[in-house]
Order: sequence, then structure tokens, then C-alpha cells
Amino acid sequence: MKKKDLVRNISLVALFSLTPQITHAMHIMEGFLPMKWAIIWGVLCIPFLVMGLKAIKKNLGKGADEKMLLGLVGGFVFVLSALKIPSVTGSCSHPTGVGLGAILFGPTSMTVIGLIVLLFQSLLLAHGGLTTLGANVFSMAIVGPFVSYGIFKLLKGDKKNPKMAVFLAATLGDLATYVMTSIQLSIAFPDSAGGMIASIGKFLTVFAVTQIPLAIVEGIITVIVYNLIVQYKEEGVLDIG
Amino acid sequence: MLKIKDLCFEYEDGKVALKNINIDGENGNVIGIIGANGTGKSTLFMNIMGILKAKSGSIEFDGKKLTYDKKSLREYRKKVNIVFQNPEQQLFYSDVYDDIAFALRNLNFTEEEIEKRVYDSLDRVNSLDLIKKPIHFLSYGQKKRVSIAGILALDGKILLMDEPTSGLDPEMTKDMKNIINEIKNDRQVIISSHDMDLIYEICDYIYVIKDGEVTAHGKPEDVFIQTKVLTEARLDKPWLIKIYEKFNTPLFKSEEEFINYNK
Amino acid sequence: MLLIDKYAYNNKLRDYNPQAKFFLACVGLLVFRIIDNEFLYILNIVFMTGVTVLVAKIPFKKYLDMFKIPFVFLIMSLVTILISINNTDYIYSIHIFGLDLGFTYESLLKCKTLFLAVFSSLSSIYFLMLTTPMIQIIKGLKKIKVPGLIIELMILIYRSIFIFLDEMHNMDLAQRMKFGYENKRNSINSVSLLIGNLFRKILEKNRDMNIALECKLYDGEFKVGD
Repeated sequence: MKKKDLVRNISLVALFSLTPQITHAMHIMEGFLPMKWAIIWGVLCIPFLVMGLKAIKKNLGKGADEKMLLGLVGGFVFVLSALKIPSVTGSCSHPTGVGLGAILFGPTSMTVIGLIVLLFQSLLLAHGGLTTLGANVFSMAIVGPFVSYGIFKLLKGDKKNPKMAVFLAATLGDLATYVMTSIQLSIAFPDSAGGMIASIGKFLTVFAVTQIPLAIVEGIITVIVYNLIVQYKEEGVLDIG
Repeated sequence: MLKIKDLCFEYEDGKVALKNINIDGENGNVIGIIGANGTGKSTLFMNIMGILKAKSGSIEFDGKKLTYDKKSLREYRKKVNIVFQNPEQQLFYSDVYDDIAFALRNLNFTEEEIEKRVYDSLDRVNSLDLIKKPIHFLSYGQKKRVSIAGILALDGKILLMDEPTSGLDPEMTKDMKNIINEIKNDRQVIISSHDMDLIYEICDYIYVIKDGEVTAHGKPEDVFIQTKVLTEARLDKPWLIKIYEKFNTPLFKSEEEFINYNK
Repeated sequence: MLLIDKYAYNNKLRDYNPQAKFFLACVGLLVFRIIDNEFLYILNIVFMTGVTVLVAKIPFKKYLDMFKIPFVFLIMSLVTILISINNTDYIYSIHIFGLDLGFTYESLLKCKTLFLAVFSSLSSIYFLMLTTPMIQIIKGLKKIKVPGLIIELMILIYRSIFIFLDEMHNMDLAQRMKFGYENKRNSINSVSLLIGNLFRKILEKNRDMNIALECKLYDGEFKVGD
């Protein structure tokens, strides 16, 4: 029973806390950030990554060896970013999946998976960059998932199929990433007249056109996927034995 | 030497999967396990490898009964190896060398010994040219051969092969047959397959499984003429047997013999 | 899919010293970026492009295509930085929604430099990506003492990526043959089904691969050679 839950929960955490932000189309590209900020964001990620590594190691030590599972989850998340979904604006976007945080492992260990997926995205797909890895990890693998996790936990209650909680967790997680990225950009490039605040306003406005519809569509997709998973579990299709 | 005695296995929900299976490794160098889908062949292999624990009966290797503690299983699996049907299931690295070296590194072999074994194993499956290729660029047949190499490197005594030719084209099937014929020289091979012709040509002894039980066993030429047994097990006869039965020619052991026959 | 990966394994500089490649890329990514000099940027772009296209023999058109990937985001961001609100010294401005929006000479210059900085960095990283197979990169990271657990996960994730790409491709094809993407509503539904299916595969494959790992005497560590 324990092992089943472990496997299920890790998968849920991955799906719900990681996928949306990582597969987001809002990667800051290589070389965009001045080196100073690139380094600062990288440093800010370190405590979370250390926590994540510790969390993973702790669970590995318990005898349930889930390294392979984490590997598969990482591959899955990466591949989601290759999917194309229709956006309201007519163009196609890459889905970010869902933004829920699930239970056992929590979003901390998923930070590590997120780091690796973002690294692969920059090296295999040219989404993002090495110098901007720190900033991207911070917004997509830390802020987003933590927000999603928090909202999910908050709104979930006792419901067996908490649709609204799932939707809001996914959508707001996405939006949190978008806001964080805008903040990162505006700190590095303050408006010459209005300073950082004006800059945040600028970036938020410009990206809202694509990011807000994307967040909503992904919220919808997340709910559908979550339903499917609940259904699979009930039908016994998800063989976790 | 492997001996399976009165093996019974049940799934968690109580469904009986294997009933009193008896397999004597001394019967032949290449042993075939045949049966329709769902009759328990894979379950049997999982039991032999100790992945599934038998309800009753025993698995004996070199006279010693298999126990399920970690240490015994580890020692056992050094000598008794398995190649799964789906290569994707058993390839973990993207680098061919590293993947074949995996089991050896787990056993703390020296890098010199590992290098020797990796090259040897790839050579035995005629795939030395793949050493520098990443695994995800290999074709299905190539992946199958690399998975075999990864297991050959362990140099065990017994090799289980689950459907080694499934999904392979005729040329690759011939290659696989040659590979198995070469491997059998230094270890016992136990193979399960739906390819009756393959089983007929390379096996010394076969077991027919139906509904989790052995319904017949013996030399291929003795078992494959038992029409009733085969039909009940939902199996077909090898072509060479059919020709023998229809035309009253001598029983050919291989396609070459048949082709070279002159009345 | 993953054309970059194909080039990484099939280019003329594949077997060249990986450390040298890293070093070359880092000069552009780090040193030049810190110095922030336009001339150096242009030099880097020309040099990196030359090495990538002429020495490693990457097709020029494909190389150019790669620069299209971040293009939209780049332009959007640059324009956002270029334009300031309620500023003075505008070269050109418009009055809209009660605000003055325009760009100054300074911001134009800054954007020009930033544009070159990005292109220079991209040319460096593209050089690295197109000439260095991922396995070399992973082993390189191991050499600079990246934590072992991260290296192991990188190996497993890299392998898993291709497993799932295959699955996704097959499912997508099957869905298309059943008209799964004819309109927006269908598409959302089909994508969700695909994702749900892929998720299910995670657990299936986890079970199967762990069995194979046991049979291969897995002891908890995915060791890798040098």
C-alpha cells in the first residue's frame, strides 16, 4: 500500500507541480540577462535545489527506489513541451500541463527534475539558455510549482475530485510564472523613466496577450487530465501494483 | 543446472497462474517454452528470475534451492539472466557502451575487464559497429541485439530469452537464430517464442504450456507431431513437420536439410 | 524532432576535445557578455558561425532556422525595453491612454547592444549544442563535480525523453487518423487524452523497467564511465 501511494503521489506531484511551468513558452533566452542577474537568480535557486536533492535522497534511502520513476517523469514533462495546443489567439502554444502540487514528495524534489528538464530544453530545443537557467528555474521550477501546490492544498478540502482547485492551481501557477518572469525582466531592465515598477507594468501588459489565454487553456486541460487519472485509478487501469 | 519442481504461483487476487510446473534443465541445452498468449509463459519466467515468489514448489540452481533474501537473489541473478522481449524495457543509458557495462559496474568489475566484456559481447551479437551510436538512433533489431549484449556481458550459466525474434524481419530472425546457436555453446538457453519454426530448429527439448500447466514435453520432433496437444494449446506445427506428415519424407531438422534433399 | 540532437551526433567536430568546445562556448557566453562590447559580440557571431557551419559542417539554413526559435520573444522583450513611459528626450513618441510612450536615443542604443549580446550568446550556445553530443555534456558536467544524483537523473531523463517521444508520436498519429485535431474543442480533448495516456505509461514503464533493473543487479546507482 505504501509503495503504491508513493508511486502515485510522485507522479501526481510531477504532473501537477512541474509540467505547466516547465513547458511554458516563456523561457528567457540565452544571453538576455546581464551576467550579474543571471548569477543572482542562479544563487537564489541553490537552497531550493539543495532541499530538493535532500528530499529525493531521503526517499531513496527508505528502500523505495524511485530513481527510474523520476527519470520517466522528467522525460514525460519534457515531451509535453513538444505538444501543441490551440490558443485563443489562434496561434499554437506549447502546453505547460498542470500546476498542482501533490502530497508526499512535495514540490521541492520536483525542483531538481525541473532544473534538468529546463537544461535539456535549452540544449535540445533551444528554449531558454544556460546563462538564464537560474532565472528560468526560479520562475518555472520553483515559484510556479510552489504556488500551484499551495493553492491546490488550500482549496482541495475533502473533495474526491476537486475540479475547481485543480483548475485554479494550474491556471494561477502558470500566471505566477508569467508574473515572476516579468519581474525578473523588469529588475534587470528598469524603465528609464518609471523605474522597475513601470517596467513590470510594461512586461506584464505585453505578455498578457499570450500568457493569460494560455494559462486558462492549460487550466482546462489540467482538469480533464486530472479527471482521467482519477478515472483510471478507479477503473484499475492505472496498475500500480 | 536449473530444475523447477512442482512450481505453483497465484496472483494477488487468488487467480492461479501456474500449476505444478516441472522443468528439468538436464533435458537439453536449448529448452523451448511454447504456449498461447496468456498461458503463463512470462509469469513462469518472472518466477524463475525470482521477481515473483512462488506459492509452492521450488526452483533449484546447481542443487541449491532458491531463497528470496536479497543476497541469495543477487548471487542467483549473476548466473541466471534474462533478456526481455521489449528492448526499451532494458536499455537505460543513451550510450551503448555504458548500457552494456551497467550490470558489470553494479558488480564492481574493473574498467579493463568491463572493456573486454563489452567488446566481446557486442562482437558475439555482430554489433561492434554500434558501439559509438546513441541508443535512440538504433533500429528495433539493433536495440534487441544491444539488449542481448548487455546480458551476455554477465557471462551467466543460464540465459532466459523472452520472444527473442518477435518484431524482427526475416533477415534479422536468421541473424538471431545464429546468435542463439553461438550463445548456446557456453551456457544453457531457455527460450519462449511464438515462432514454431524457430523453436523446432534450435531447441533440444520443449515444454508446452496451457492454462498454466505443462501439457506435454519432450524432443521437438516428438512433441510437434502430437496434433491434439498442439491444437488444445492453440499452437501450430512447424512447416518441416507438416511437410514430413504430408509427404512421408524423412523428418528434416532444418531448412537446409530440406532444401538439400534429393529424392 | 530533436534535430539538434541528430546534428550533435553527426557533425564533423563530434569527436573533437569536449573541453575545448566548452571553453570556446564559455568565452562567448560568459567573458564577452560581461565585457559587453559590441565589436566583440560581432566578432563572436562571425567566428562561432564560421566554426559551426564551415568546420562542423552544419547546414547554414538549419543553423539560421535555429535563430528563429527565440525570435518572437526576443523582439517582444526588446520592444518592451525600448519603449518607456512618460519620459523626456523622446526621439519618437505617441500619446495613448493618457500616457506618453516612445523611445529615446539611449534606449535605442541599449537595445542594439542587447540584441547583439543575445545573438552572440546564442551563436556560442548553438555551437556547443550542435557539436557536442549530450552524453559528452553529461560526462563533462560530472567532471566539474556536479552532484552525482543530478548526473544520474540526467542520464535517466535523457533516455526517457526518447521513449516518450516515440509514444507521443504514435498516439498523435493515431489520433490524427481519427480526426482528433479537426477543431479547437477536439484538439483540447485529444491533447488531454494523449497526456493522460502518457501519464499512464509512466507507471507502466516504471514497473517494467524496475523489473529489468533487478535482473541486472541494480544496486541503487547508475554508474557512468568517463
